[in-house]
Amino acid sequence: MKELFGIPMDAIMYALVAIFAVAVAGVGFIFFTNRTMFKMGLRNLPRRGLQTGLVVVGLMLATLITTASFTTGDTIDYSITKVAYDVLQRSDLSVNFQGEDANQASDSVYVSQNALSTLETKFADDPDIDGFLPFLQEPAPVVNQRTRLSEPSIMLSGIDPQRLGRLGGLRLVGGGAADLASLGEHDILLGKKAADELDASVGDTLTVFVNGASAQVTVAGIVKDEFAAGDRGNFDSAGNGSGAMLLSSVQTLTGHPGQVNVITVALKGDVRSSVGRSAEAAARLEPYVQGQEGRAALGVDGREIKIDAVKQDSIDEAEQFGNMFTTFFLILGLFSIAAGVMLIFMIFVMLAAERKAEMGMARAVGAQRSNLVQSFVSEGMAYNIIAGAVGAAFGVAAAIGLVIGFLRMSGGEDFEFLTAHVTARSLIISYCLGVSLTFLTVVIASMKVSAVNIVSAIRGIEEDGKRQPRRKTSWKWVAIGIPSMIVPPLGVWFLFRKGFGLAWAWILAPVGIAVGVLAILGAGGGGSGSEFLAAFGFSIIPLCLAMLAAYYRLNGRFTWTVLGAYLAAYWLLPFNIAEKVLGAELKGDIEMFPLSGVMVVIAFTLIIVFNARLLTTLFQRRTGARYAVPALTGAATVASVAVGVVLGDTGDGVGQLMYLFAGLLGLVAATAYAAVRFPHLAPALKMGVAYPLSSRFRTGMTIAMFSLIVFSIVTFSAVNANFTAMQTGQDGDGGWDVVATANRNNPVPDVPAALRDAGAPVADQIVDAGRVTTFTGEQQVRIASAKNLEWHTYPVIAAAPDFLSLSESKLEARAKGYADDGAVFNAVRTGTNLALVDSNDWGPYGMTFSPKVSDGQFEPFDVIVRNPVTDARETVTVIGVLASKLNAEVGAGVYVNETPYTRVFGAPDYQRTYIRLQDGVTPKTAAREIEAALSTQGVQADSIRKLINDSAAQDRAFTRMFQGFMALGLFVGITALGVIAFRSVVERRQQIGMLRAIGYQSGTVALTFVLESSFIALMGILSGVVGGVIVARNLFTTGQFADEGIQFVMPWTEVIAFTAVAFAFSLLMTWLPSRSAARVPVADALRYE
Amino acid sequence: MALAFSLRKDQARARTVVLEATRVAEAAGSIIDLDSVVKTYSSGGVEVQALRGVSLQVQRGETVAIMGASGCGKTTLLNCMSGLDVIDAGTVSIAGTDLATLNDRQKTSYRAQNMGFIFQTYNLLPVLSAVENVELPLVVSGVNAGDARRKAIAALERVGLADKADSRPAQLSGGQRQRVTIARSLVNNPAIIWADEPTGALDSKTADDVMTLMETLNRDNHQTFVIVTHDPGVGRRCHRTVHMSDGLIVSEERAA
Repeated sequence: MKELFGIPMDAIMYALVAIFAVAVAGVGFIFFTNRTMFKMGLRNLPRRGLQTGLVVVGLMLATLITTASFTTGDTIDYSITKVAYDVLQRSDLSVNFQGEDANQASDSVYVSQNALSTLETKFADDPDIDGFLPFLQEPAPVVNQRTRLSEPSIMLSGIDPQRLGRLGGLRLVGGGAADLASLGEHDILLGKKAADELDASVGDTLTVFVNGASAQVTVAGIVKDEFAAGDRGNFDSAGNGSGAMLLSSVQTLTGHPGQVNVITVALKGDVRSSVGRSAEAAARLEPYVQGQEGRAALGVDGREIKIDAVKQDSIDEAEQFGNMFTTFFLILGLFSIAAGVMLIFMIFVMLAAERKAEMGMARAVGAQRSNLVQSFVSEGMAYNIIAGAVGAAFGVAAAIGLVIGFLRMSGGEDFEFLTAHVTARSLIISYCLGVSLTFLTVVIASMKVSAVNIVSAIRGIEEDGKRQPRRKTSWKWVAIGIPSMIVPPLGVWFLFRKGFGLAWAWILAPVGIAVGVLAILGAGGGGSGSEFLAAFGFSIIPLCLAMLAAYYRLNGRFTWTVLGAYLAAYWLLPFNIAEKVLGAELKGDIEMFPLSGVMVVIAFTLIIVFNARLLTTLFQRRTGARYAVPALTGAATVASVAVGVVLGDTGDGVGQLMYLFAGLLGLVAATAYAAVRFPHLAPALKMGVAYPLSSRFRTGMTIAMFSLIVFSIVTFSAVNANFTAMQTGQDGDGGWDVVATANRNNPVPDVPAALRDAGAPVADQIVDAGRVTTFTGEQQVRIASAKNLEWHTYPVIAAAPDFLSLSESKLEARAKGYADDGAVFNAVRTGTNLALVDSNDWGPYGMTFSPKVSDGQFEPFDVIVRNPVTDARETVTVIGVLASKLNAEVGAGVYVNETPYTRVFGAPDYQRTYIRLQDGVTPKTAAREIEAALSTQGVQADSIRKLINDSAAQDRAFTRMFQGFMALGLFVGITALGVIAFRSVVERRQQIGMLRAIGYQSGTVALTFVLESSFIALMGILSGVVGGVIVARNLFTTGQFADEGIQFVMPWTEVIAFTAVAFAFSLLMTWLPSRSAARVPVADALRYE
Repeated sequence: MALAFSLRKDQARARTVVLEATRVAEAAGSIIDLDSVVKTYSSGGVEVQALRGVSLQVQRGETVAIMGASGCGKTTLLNCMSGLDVIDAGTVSIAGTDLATLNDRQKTSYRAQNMGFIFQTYNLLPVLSAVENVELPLVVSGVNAGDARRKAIAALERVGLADKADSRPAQLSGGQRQRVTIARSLVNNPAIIWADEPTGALDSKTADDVMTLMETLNRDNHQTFVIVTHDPGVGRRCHRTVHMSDGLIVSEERAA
């Protein structure tokens, strides 16, 4: 990768190395100037082995996440680049006669092979061009006579042995080069993929069918899959294999004597080094082929000829993919990194709490506050250096195991090309970024914890909590602070805190409010990112006000609960408060995901830590109706489930919310029942809630860590489930069962008739068939109302009357004014210039337009379709969106009737047939039978449902991988629980002693600690689930998705399984400290101070 | 459930042991019987003999103060007598039962039913109310919820804190906290109450009130009190004062 977020990777690396060096130099400075504090810090490391281990785990998270992100990006980049080099070999440039998406085109442009000599003569002395390679590449069905296996579409590549031999030749699978010179007229060098599909070996006879005729060829060798042999690379989903034959043989077979349809250019150098010459060579070649002389030489007129730097483009694409993965992983990893930062902060606050007396003593004997900071920073850096290395190693392992391993396992062949790879630069960046981030957190945490009241610290009592007084103004710091404003946080600190001596609340709150106001003003005009700005502003301002209220000692529970409730309302209500206040339509994207996560988590955490004590009332002893609470909550649970069942997936997701509510009530009921049924557990249950809440900071932090990660995973799960449901829903097949596609060399104008002719029983199982054309490669569209006048290559499909007259075809949405879907189909069939469009995202074709649908209806809109060769164009009005969820390669297009199509593109050549089968016929079986019956005509048939499911499965594999990656963050929460549990055991040794003295069995003591951890984990998990479900529900039941009439679904099994595993691991982590609490010798515990 | 069942079994076994032991002890007169108790600690790799062959008998209903300089072994002796700590040599018998014959579970159940503890630093659970703190020993002994609450309230009434039943420790003064501790120690009507510096953290007036309370309980309930203290005033109000030095009992004096 060369860039990340638009910044060169080298620049990022140098900057981070510089920051890392500053951090190390800072610690070095401490070592040389204050060795006592340095040693004091370092000697803490071996004091508690297990705790040190947990600290290292906590500190390594940031490095782990960044390393995993970069390793994934590097791997994707490297693997795709490798495929590009492997496949393209010496083909650096390609002469493109067919526009942007020539690869997906079903048609081809043929030029005279004599043009090659002209080109070679013209560029004989070119400093970059080594030679030209002509090919005639044509699809054809092939049958292996020995194995009787057939493939409907093998790409035959006609090669010029002399030219190709001089420029790299073809590589045999078993090693060495294929002997092109001895290649006979009836010989084929079969590509590996095709050889596997046909189970072919050298000497086998294959029958090739073209235009109704057939020819026998002999397998002369098995070669690697590469472009020269007809292979289009890993991402050519339609590619079923390839084989190279003599150019003359393919010309004769396909009826294109003396013609070629592919010309590539080999540049000087080897396979890899030649790519650097692409731009210069293309810059000289393109003007020539576009000029009069070049056009005459190639014999093409009117076409837009381009020189594609295919190899360079593939490498750029690889870079882009790698970059996309890294960026996406880093964004998703932000949740884990944020949780990791919180953990680091908490760890240091707890380490400081443990050493409060030591710190007080050190201060009493003359240590400055800065000395304590130095000690902590030294200790932190020591942890950090180790943790960074461990994190980097685990990051690489996580990327390889989770990403590559997982994708290969779940995606099968599609991901076999992945080869683990990480660059030294990525490792340096990850390590330095992780260490620097951790170092910064440690410094801030150290500064906070070093502020101890000496007397309170030594006596081990709580500080009185007076508010921070304003200090005297220090003009020296004011003077330093003004220029320091170049680095705003530093400038603010120096100027306002050290200079004017303001309390932090009076520095941060006004700054936050000012930033919030600016953000809201910035969002007022709408536009890209406006929702993020508005939401940030509307959230940060109340936060800052609460900070000020807390500074003035306003009732904490009231202040923070109100803030939590406000944030929860803002982020979880099913309408956008900011839009209502600003009166503008706001736009947001993926950036809203982390922000919503952080804010929802803050909201819930505040509400929980200030109010969860109410839960202890469940464990109060009651006289009389002791089972009243469990009975009432149990009844409410059942009622909620019943309402959920009644509402189900209908309505706007309220049914799912009822299930969620029922789950929460069920937990309360079960706990209340346990407290009544097993009264001896009641104190332990109460302590399990009350003790964590007596340390709000650390409990809140841990709840937030869990919540943040669980929120992200639950939201992702819900989004995934709903998209899958949309994709694979009942209407996703558009009312069709099978799609059969012929190729240009073997037209099959009437598939049912061909099947009847072939005597295939499946012919009788066909109820309806509707024909459409396929993408010809030279089709462009433009939204008529778009300000941008740029044309976009996009399929324009002619639909035969049989496709448009079938009553069971379905639409996802229709234009206003049409009574039903049938009326729309009828209008397109019989009307003038009316069109349907597919429901795919038009993004892949460079279009970002989609109609605004409300209640399944939209305003009709005009699209101009154009033939770039002739510049013929027509304006068509789109009145329907097809329900079919077939992937873009098959289903995408502007569907019109024959009339406008003929006017722009000529008479339609129907190569694709949609088939509806009788009820009870299995589409997969029917597709196989169709393919077998028409194998010699090269018809490829697929079950539409299978195509959709395969595509959904691939998406799911990616989603699972992302979820797995996000789940890494759970380590943070679980580690935090471990740290807290260890700390609690130390803090409460005397109380443990007392409990044991008055008769608590060791098991009950352990149970108390387990319950505490359970409470924290449960609160974090539940708040994450609640937030995630509501946010996902709002996403799918409001705005665009609601307009499309989506039924919100929740993958409860997945959520429950995942949360159960997270909870189980949490308990496992606290088992060790709980056991150690139980084993504390009573007398020692009572003596402990 | 397994845990609860196991607990009940231990409690039943402990109860049987105690009933039998009490019968024997009543016949013998002494409730606590120490013979040549030795306790050694390892501190920083150095062996420290905290008790060097201590022998002591305490009669039922007696109040005994253990006094001595810091580090002389007072608290260690109390811990060993109450079964909180294990001894290296000698025997500790409570009501005729040699504590060495009980396993940890049985000892724990035994303590829950027959002993009360008062600590200098109160050791109340800050997250529980006064009454919940007091009923803890009953809850773990398997007393049903209603009875436990009734007894806890009664115990608080005896120490004059019934009106503070729902207060948390943080809402109580030092003296009130110590009285809650005393209520907790007597709620299960134990035969013996162990007190480690019960007045150490209190002002003299409050300390006097607490001692008066303990004297009353001793007189009314005939409970045995073993009190570790630095305060000679506390010692003077006990039936007997045992003086320790370097892990040995060096003298005893009885109140006039």
